[in-house]
Amino acid sequence: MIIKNSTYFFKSAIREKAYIFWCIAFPAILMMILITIFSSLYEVKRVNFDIYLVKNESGDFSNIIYNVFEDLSKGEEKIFNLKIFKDISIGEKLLEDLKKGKTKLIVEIPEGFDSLVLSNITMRMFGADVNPVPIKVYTLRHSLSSQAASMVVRSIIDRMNLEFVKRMTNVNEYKVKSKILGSKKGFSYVDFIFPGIVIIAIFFTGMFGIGQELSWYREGKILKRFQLTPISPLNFFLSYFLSRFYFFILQILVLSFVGKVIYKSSVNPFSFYFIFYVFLTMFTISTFGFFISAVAKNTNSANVIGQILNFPLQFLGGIYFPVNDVPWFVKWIVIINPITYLAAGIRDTLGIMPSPYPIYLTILIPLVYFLIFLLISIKKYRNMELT
Amino acid sequence: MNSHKFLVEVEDLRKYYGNVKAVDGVSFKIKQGSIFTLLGPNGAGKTTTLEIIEGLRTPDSGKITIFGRQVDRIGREEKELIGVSLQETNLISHLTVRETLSMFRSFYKRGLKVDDVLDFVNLKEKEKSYVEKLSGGQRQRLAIGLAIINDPLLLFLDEPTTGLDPQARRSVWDLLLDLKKKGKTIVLTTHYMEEAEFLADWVCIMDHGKIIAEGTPEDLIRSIGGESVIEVDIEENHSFLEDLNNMGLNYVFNSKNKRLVIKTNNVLEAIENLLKIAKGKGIKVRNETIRQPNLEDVFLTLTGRQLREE
Repeated sequence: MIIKNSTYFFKSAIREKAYIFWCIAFPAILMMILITIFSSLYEVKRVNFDIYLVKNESGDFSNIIYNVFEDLSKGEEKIFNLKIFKDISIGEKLLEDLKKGKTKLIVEIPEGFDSLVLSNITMRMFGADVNPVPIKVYTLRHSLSSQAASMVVRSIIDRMNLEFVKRMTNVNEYKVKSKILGSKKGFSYVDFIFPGIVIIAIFFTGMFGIGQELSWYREGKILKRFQLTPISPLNFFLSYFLSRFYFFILQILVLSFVGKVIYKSSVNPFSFYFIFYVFLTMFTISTFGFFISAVAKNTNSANVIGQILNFPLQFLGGIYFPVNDVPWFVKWIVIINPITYLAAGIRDTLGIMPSPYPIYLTILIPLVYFLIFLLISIKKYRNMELT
Repeated sequence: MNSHKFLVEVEDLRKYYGNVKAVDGVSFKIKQGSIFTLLGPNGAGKTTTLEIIEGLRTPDSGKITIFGRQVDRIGREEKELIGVSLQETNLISHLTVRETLSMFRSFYKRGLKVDDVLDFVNLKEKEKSYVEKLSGGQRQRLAIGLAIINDPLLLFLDEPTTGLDPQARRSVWDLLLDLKKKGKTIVLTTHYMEEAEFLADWVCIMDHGKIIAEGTPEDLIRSIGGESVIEVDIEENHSFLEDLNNMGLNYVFNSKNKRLVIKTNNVLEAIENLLKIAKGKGIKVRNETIRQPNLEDVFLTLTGRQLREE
């Protein structure tokens, strides 16, 4: 009987255009908008600078430098798009290219570089204090990318200096072992937002949908009509929840299609962790809806309570952006917000972003909310005289 | 169970909300196969009384015996045997008429076929319409359809015709008479005296939570005396009313709507006396009506107010 009744509730919901829009179309549209706006902002793209290398020497030392730059401009992980100029002086044309942004930086290995390096080494061997041999680097002062390219070039030259020193003297190098934890892939906003939007879609259906509809059932005396039949309250509420469960599944399928097929998210909606957290979200958020319907006097007050809860829960739950570094006066909302834990848990277990909280808390805290709101709702409905 | 002459027996039922005595010591018995009517103005306590019997509200005190079993609150067993139509009929709006009936049918162990109910309440043509698209009359017929879907022994209908146009009201009355013919026991609340007069086998008139009179409609009307009623509109005038008293006229004056109602066995003499006094006092008499007495007059006689007064 529960399954049969749940289909009636589901049919009614699915036929309501406003319900379909807010619970299915809107989350999908929201995801598309957010991905369009934020994916380029958050996505870490490989650094790839256009640079000119002016090589006016062809000795051993200048060739080492030349080879290093050439190696860094090859393969998939190349840092530079290198353009080589040989045996020319830096003239107006190259500097004009720099100004126009055709290159981010010009590196010049000046004429006489090799002989200067050789004499420098010889002098050092006899203990003389000598000035370093210069490599000229031309950058554009107000261009961020030019400055970034210069920092990269500087670190390369520093590294080469270190290599020279190591080979000429007895310097012991201390190595620090590092290990990359988690995914080696870069941050993907699509992967970040997809599970978040699934949570928020469940949130719309569970909190607003259930809260307002059951309030209307109460206000419009529909619950009273059911109470007059032999159907038990448990049967009624289970049937109703099951109908929303079908709706949740529909939401997840639509969002998965958008996330996986259109935006190529790497999140697997059939993975155990994804399904586990989605179920936990369904149960937790649905009890919010039942709670609202139990405490609200009518549909209007259910809407008001829903709106009051909506803003902190939705925007300070880490759905749309990370909330670890929010100011202290809103931090407490983040900490008591069950959405925070659901979002952090699902992203951590899917390898999208490490959770700032222990995983057991991302399960325990939503469960505590689930139990509290469920018990309050049961108590409220039990003591309710439907008039 | 069917051997009981009375399906429902209520004894000294009370329900108070703070200082408001919604139901104040109500007792009655409902005979099997009859149409039992609670008649009274809004706020008289009819719906509260009904909802206590239906198990929606808990009484403060009193005894309810239903289908021969004394209950504090009816349970699943009794719910299988009763059908209810509430004062307001809101249903799941995006279900069709057929789906709504099918859904409610599934709540009961036994009952009628959905098609039979659709035919009975004359909604076959609307079976695929969403509930929200139905007119007031159609919605009320659906509510009655839902009330009879389990083929109940006892039907509770709370103001089933309120807000309906005369044609729709008449159609509901016909349905109720058909149900009575099928042997159903119907408990009806209404504030339409003509509805009670037309349908009821037994009427309990309620006011301020109490039953102030009960009996068959004919007995109640007869109880106030007078074969005819004369109604006129006049301006309030104490000495005029005193003169009516002195003339021995049996009247009730409603100061709110300035309507004078005189019960008499001699219409001509009463009109002659009335007009003579009015002329002597210089009072204009308007909108004269002569009619048979009805339940409205019973209520007016008992309370000094009319049933549908604000």
